[in-house]
Amino acid sequence: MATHDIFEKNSILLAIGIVIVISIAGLIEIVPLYFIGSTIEKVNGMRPYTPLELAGRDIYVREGCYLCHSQMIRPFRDEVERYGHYSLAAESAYDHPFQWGSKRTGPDLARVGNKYSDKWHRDHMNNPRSIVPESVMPGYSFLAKTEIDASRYAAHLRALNWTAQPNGVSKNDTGAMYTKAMIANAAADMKAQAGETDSDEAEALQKRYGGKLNVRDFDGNPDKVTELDAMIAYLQMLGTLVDFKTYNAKANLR
Amino acid sequence: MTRGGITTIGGIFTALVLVSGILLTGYAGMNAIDAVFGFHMYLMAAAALLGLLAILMGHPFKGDPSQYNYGVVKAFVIATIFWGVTGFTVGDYIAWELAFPFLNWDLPWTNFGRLRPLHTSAVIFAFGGNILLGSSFYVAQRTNHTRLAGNVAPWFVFWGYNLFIVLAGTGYVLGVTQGHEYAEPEWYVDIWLTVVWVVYLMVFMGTLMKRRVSHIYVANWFYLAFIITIAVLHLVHNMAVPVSFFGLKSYSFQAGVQDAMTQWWYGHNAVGFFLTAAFLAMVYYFVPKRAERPVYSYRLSIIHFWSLIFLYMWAGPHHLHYTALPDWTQTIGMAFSIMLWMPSWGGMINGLMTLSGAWDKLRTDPVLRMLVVSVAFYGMSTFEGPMMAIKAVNALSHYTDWTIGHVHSGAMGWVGMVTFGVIYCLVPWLWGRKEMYSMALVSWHFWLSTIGILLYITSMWVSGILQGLMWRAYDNLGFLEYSFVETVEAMHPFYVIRALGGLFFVIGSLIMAYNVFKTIRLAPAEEHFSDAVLAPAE
Amino acid sequence: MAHKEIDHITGTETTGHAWDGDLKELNTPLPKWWLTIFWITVVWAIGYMAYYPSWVIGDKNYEGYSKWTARADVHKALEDAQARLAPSFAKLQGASLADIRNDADLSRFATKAGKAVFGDNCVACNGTGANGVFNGSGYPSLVDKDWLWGGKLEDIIETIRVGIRSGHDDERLNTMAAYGGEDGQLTAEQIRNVAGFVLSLSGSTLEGADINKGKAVYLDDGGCNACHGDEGKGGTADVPGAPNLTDSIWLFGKGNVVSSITHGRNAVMPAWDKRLTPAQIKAVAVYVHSRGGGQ
Repeated sequence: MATHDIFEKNSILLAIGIVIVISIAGLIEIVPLYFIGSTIEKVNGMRPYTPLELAGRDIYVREGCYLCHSQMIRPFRDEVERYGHYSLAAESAYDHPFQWGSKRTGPDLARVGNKYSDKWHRDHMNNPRSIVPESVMPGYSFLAKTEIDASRYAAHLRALNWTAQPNGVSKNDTGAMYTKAMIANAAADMKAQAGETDSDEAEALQKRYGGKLNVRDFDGNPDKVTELDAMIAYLQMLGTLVDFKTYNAKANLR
Repeated sequence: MTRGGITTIGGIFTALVLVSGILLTGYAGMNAIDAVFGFHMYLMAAAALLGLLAILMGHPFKGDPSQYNYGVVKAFVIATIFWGVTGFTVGDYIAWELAFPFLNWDLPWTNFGRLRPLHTSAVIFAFGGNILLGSSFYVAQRTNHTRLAGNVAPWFVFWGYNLFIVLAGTGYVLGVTQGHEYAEPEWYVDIWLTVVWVVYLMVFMGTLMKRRVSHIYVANWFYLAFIITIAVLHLVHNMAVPVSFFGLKSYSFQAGVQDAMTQWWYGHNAVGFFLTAAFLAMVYYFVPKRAERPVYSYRLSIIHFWSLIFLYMWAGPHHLHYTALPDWTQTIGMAFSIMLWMPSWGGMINGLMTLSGAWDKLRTDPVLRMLVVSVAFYGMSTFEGPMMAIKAVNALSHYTDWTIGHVHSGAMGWVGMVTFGVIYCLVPWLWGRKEMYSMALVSWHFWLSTIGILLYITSMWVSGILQGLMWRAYDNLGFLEYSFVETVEAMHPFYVIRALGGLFFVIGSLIMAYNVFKTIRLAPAEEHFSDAVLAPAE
Repeated sequence: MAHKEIDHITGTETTGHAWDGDLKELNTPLPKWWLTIFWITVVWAIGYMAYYPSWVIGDKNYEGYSKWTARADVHKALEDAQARLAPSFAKLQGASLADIRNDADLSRFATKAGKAVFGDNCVACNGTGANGVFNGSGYPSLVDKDWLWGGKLEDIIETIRVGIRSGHDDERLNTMAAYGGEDGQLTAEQIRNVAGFVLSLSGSTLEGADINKGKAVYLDDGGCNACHGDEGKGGTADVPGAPNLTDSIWLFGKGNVVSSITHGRNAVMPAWDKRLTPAQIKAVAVYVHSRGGGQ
């Protein structure tokens, strides 16, 4: 082992050797995910989070929901039958950070959107055991009491436009995730989504983000936009975007 | 000659850095858009101010080049014990929360989702990190026959690293997280850790470069690999776009599948380099020292060192088996996880076989027993790991408590036990005491921990496998046998047993804290203590 | 140079270096078993990566000798299961309630299929035994005889399919308006009286309520009878969804009648036709029907 003396006698060479040896794996496993076309499936329906949903997602992250709930339905018969179609990579293309999770103390939430009523979510957040006696989830009654400052959210959309948008799937025609109009109207859009279903503002919001948005007073308190509004708006859209009628599963087996 | 404080180049440089730090954080604090961000900025400013005062007063950064720098190592050891007790206690508390959810109290600051990162970070980065940094400073000095490089810098690393922990921990409780497991701190805390880590690398490399022995001892290879790799992982994984330079929130630069792959490339190698390579470095110094035997095989050291650090980096995708990560990545992740088995066991062989000729000491020396049992747990976890990386096994174990059990057999059995052993070695050596205050209490700690670990991992094995089987159980007609909520109910008894196991472990750590406190209060035993730097050697 | 020496206990030579006084290394060769297993894992890994999709070459990944994918696997598993269950589901789809009751196998099939669907979709609101969760929580028990939207098998199927106030194209809705508040139709006193009257229909009393005045409000100022009927027996086929007020079953709680009248009630049940197949809906309806309340 005399040749190994080179490293043992020279700390710089040892350090360089370590850097080279540890760098190879990442280059081979991570980098190709950015340029191989098959990484992210071709789907219809994905869109950026609305300001209200994004605020809800931020709360989801802040409270560490991902530590007990996955958002990743694996391609197993039991999971597909329990939770719905297995999750696609395309479905988390807008997720900074991803929320696949690593533990299911509670059930998977990848397709919980539109599964339960808003009232159920309100009751459940307020006191989970009042409707699911077996639950071990903490209560989040403080969400309904905390207002959101909608005026701050334009900056969040702007920040997301600076993030990497893999394979270009989360870019719109203007080459960014959010358009100028979406950023300019972030605060109005947030209030509109938690308000009257048929207001002009809601119509403008629908137009900007396209298609099937949930617009209503999610938390049962029409006067304010609370964290509970945002959280329920986020939960109610999870897994509802991809149009599986037009999705070609056989073409995306990879 | 004694030099220190502002009179040294390092002191002047550090003072300048601290002054600019005060200005920067003070400015950011004044413009903060979040209350917690302002609090954190002022906290950093206050820390920098205290550091500046300490440097201006020239104390305690004095160094005699003919003596080892033990002061900073002592500080790391005490911090290790403090954070250990804290981290274990929080961990046990959240274990009780899962068994009895009313303990969440419906408050933001006490709910499981916020306390869990506090527990994992307190144990991995605070408890583990402090002993790694402290022991690396000790081992680097002793095995290179030279005083630690720099006088101010090692203390900067100590206070800087622990400031990082305080920022991270208070942040979690107050709802500050970027949502990446095992890397929850937000962008500004990440930047601060980067600064600290670069200084750490400089101190360690500086000590290696001024060594007065011809060859670098094997423990230092592992420490160096740990320091370099953690730096690379930290920088790549934490790339993020802050919403405002005066606010908490940032969004990760990467999204979805790429973010997931990077997360577990990071997460798996935080295990590989923080919790494995660096703790193996401790084994390579403290086991032969305590057993007074030579390291079993130099050749095995070389082969297993390079193969371990090379192969570990590939294994991340096994955390994402059967997810939306493409199959090709998963295949590679699994294949390399299997190949990682023997390189991992190389460390176990070198650790255990070093005792050949000294096995009888296990009967008389509870400290050595702790070190050896830790290596045994290491061997078990590094067998279980590749096994759980097999896709068919992972399909069952993933998302269940089995993973939690696996992590804890590694964290409590390996990382915890080896750290306890090293503390019991280091405290008498650093403070110049003949032995620990009470070897009987060391034995008590050993048995309480062992029972606690066994309760913990067996209950999690049962609950994990049970839950995995219930999820996939079909009745004879072909329908799902159990609803999800029934599987939650079935976990309850195991959650109680697990929390009890954790309680044993916490009590053991309190006994250690008491024992260390009493040892430091003992009268010094002069003949056992020398901090004089050893003569050069070949 | 190095001072190699022989370790007395193992008889192995050291490398000749010493650190920190007494720290030495033996030059023991690699354990054979260790090396052997290591090479076996390497050979196995190469074979595994050749068989399964692995390395990226150019802009594509190698598909593997087997061309295996997890997704193809699950599609096959689902198709197999579907093929196996299809005849029974087809039979169930064509069967009437009487047919199901008379065919033990079909009945067991429907109940088990329904229970599985119920377990992961319905228990969150309706409880693990379909018996609701808590009285007055707003989520109905499905085991009693009280049905707002009909308790016949076909009614239950329709309710599951389109939900209630769900936003579905065929949704069914009626409104229990808010009668209280500043712009409300009734005063607080009137509400208290009518609540007392309503409670008296099932033999309960409400403190401070004048039942006779309440009855007048019920029939006149409030117009409650328009939906709940003159006798409070609840909705008819023309006006479904209005609860029977005489049966002492209180969806939102016996103590909350005043609140219900003041603030109104419009509970939502989501539509399930996007999540469940018609056969699954029928199965879960049979399961619910069989829990004791079905008509």
